[in-house]
Amino acid sequence: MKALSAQSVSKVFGGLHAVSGVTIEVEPGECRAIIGPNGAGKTTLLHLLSGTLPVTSGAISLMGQDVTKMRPFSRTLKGLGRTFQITSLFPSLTIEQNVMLALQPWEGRRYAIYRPATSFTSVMNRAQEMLEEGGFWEKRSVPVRQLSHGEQRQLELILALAGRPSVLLLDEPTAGLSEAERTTMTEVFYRLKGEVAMLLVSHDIDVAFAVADSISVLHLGELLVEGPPLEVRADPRVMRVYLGDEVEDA
Amino acid sequence: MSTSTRVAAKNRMGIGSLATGTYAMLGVLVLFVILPHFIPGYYVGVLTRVIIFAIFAIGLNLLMGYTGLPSLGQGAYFGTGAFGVGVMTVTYNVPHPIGMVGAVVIAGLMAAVYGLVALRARGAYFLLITMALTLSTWAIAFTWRSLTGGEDGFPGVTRPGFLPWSLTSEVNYYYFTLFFLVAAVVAFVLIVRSPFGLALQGIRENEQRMRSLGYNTWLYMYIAFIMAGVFGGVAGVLNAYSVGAISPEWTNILPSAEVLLMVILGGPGTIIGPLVGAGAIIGASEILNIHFPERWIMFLGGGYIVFMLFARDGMVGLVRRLLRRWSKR
Amino acid sequence: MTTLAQVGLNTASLASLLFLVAAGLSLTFGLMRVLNMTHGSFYLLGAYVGLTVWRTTGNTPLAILASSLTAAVAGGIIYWGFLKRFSVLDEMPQALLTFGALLVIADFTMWRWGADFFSFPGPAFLRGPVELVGGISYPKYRFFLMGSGLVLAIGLYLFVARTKIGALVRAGVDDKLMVQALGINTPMVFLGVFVFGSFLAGFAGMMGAPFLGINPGLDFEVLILAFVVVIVGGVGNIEGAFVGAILVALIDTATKTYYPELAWFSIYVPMAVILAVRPRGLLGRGA
Repeated sequence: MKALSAQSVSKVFGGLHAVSGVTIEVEPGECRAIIGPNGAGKTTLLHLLSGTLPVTSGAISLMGQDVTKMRPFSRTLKGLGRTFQITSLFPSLTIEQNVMLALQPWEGRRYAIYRPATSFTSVMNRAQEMLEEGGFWEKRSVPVRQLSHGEQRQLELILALAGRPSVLLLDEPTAGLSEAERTTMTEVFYRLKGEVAMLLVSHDIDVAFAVADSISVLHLGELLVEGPPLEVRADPRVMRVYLGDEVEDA
Repeated sequence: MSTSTRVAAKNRMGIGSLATGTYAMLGVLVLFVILPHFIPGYYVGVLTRVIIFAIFAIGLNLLMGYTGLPSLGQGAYFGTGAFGVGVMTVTYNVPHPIGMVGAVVIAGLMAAVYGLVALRARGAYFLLITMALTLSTWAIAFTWRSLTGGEDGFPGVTRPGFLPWSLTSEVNYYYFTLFFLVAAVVAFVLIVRSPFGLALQGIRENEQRMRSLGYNTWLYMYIAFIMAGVFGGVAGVLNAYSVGAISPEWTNILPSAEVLLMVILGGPGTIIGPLVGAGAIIGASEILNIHFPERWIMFLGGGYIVFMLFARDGMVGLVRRLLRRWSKR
Repeated sequence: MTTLAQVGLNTASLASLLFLVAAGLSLTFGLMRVLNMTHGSFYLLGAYVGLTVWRTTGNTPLAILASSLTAAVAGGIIYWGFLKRFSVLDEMPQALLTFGALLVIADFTMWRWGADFFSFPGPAFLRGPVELVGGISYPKYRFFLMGSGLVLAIGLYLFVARTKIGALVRAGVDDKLMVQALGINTPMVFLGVFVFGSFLAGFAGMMGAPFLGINPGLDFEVLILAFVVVIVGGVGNIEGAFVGAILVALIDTATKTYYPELAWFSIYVPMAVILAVRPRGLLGRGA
């Protein structure tokens, strides 16, 4: 059984084929990276997988279950976690409240209305566990907007992992990070490998090649090449289409 | 659980700040309880209006301050609650308790229908669509003469007896509304501190993120919308009894604009804000009506402009900012 | 058959008027991302001032000019005095501020002109009907209205299609810095567009008076209808506003003609239809 599988999914906007017939499979515990130059359809594909946009055709399944027609929140409840390209947190709430929000759906408490949110010990204990692990426990009462960019990215990952997802979609997780922060983040991905299947969408080829078990290259909405990092790196088509561009950019 | 984690858990629940908040609330309550014995009868009526509008504003605060959906259409539920209880108890002789509950249910159902329409929009669009919904409700109330009396209004609403007390006395009726205010505040505090209430705040901050965390955000907003309608319905029922007659204007833009400014002025997203806002707006309307009769709407509009320019987080926010500056010295 | 022709002609008249109002709303919405809730008030305030000028001087062109200029000045005050201070991102505070201005203007007009319904016959040479084929007669003035609506539509289209400012409107620019980077003095351009949009609303106010009359509450009605036109046509899109105006006018007119008992609700019908038809609803900023 695949952790995540997209079978020849397409998305057409008006007459534009943003994604056409892309098939991507992620094994449980595997880390796959999707790379490709700007306009390759990476972001659209991510939207299709998370359910933000409906597919024009094709099917998506999560741990063997068809989720093609499910809305984003239902997919999350089926085990799909995600992070966003632009840091996406709850800025005026505290760090602890951010984590509580991420945990509530998994403790069956998300519609409870009669008791303070802080009185649910299962949520609070796990929140404490996660905050201590992430090194946030001491400043748990600080509003998130006061955190540094790197800390926010880190917290974002904590939120995405709160529900113990079977698949994690990572949208440009290292964007805007300092060199040191990037290294920390890469280490985190290494630790997560084997525990959770990851689909990493990134411009940052260094991180993609360093972490991923396999790489899919998108070009003009279609799957160009896929395979282990070394093979992909050596593929002449990739050199031409993607790495060539990067070299010119640099 | 070890001692240290238990201590931590206690701090986490914010016992300290909870206590100060509770004491402040109890202080306000004591003030509200004893006040009628020290002021002339006319002002008891004014204070009753403050209480009714505070209940109204608490409902909108849930929607605006906690969920991030500012509605310009709360008058629809206020007026519907009022007409509901009036028509049932006067036209159809339904017993008061049933009439009151029934009216609130009707207001809630109306919110359930309107919510389906309004929640297809966000931001400024939501503002305009809720406004249009209350205007169309006004058109219904205005044209359905056989039910509402149209522009002549609906007279003859009498207050119920309540256990041994007659509510015809202004002071007794004041305590009757105060009971509902206390219930509304308690319900409100429970809601906003609950997981549900935390989820509403999450939606206010970042709706997309909440969806990706597994929340059906639409349903939360829909429930909050209906709750705000129910609070509006309760306020409408109490106002119908208070005034003794109902006008279609209650469903019009004016009460909607008043209650929204109350929430803004008090401080959206705070617990005490709606009380402050209701007191300030009703107080201002009393004073201004003496000196500038009939120019209330202009002042109301001016209030929006002034608060948007200088104090978007309302008076509670203003006081907090001043306190912070003062404590830094 | 006569009714059908009547509906058609009324639709065309109302559409011309709606286009004038909605074009201004669409331009400011498109360029500045401000939902200006005062737009309907500019229409009404202009019409009242125009009416007063007409009553004192009897000069119709002067009245129309006065109406337009009043609205333009009011728009300039709203932008330069208030909205200019806000960041483009503060969509809601700006909308609420303009709502406050709506209340102030509504109360001011009520104070100054009362709650009465005023009618304005229009210029003498345009009074009376035109006889059409098939025994249909229709007021001359309304043909004049349709004509001016069409001329302005073409003018506006060219403005948006051919000028630099128009390009910005079309792009739906919502980044002040980007606009500045293009070498444009943002506050002055925004002021210009805001004043121009308000001017159009005031112009429509007096032009529409022989058709819709002048009375309190028209500010809200005009605002809601223009808003729906903008949504149908697409924000900042002049051709869209033209099509939207026809569509909204048709729904409104048809409702009033065939279901007169729903006349009070006819302005909400187009809105309900729009919300039902748009699959993802209206998501505001960034959607």
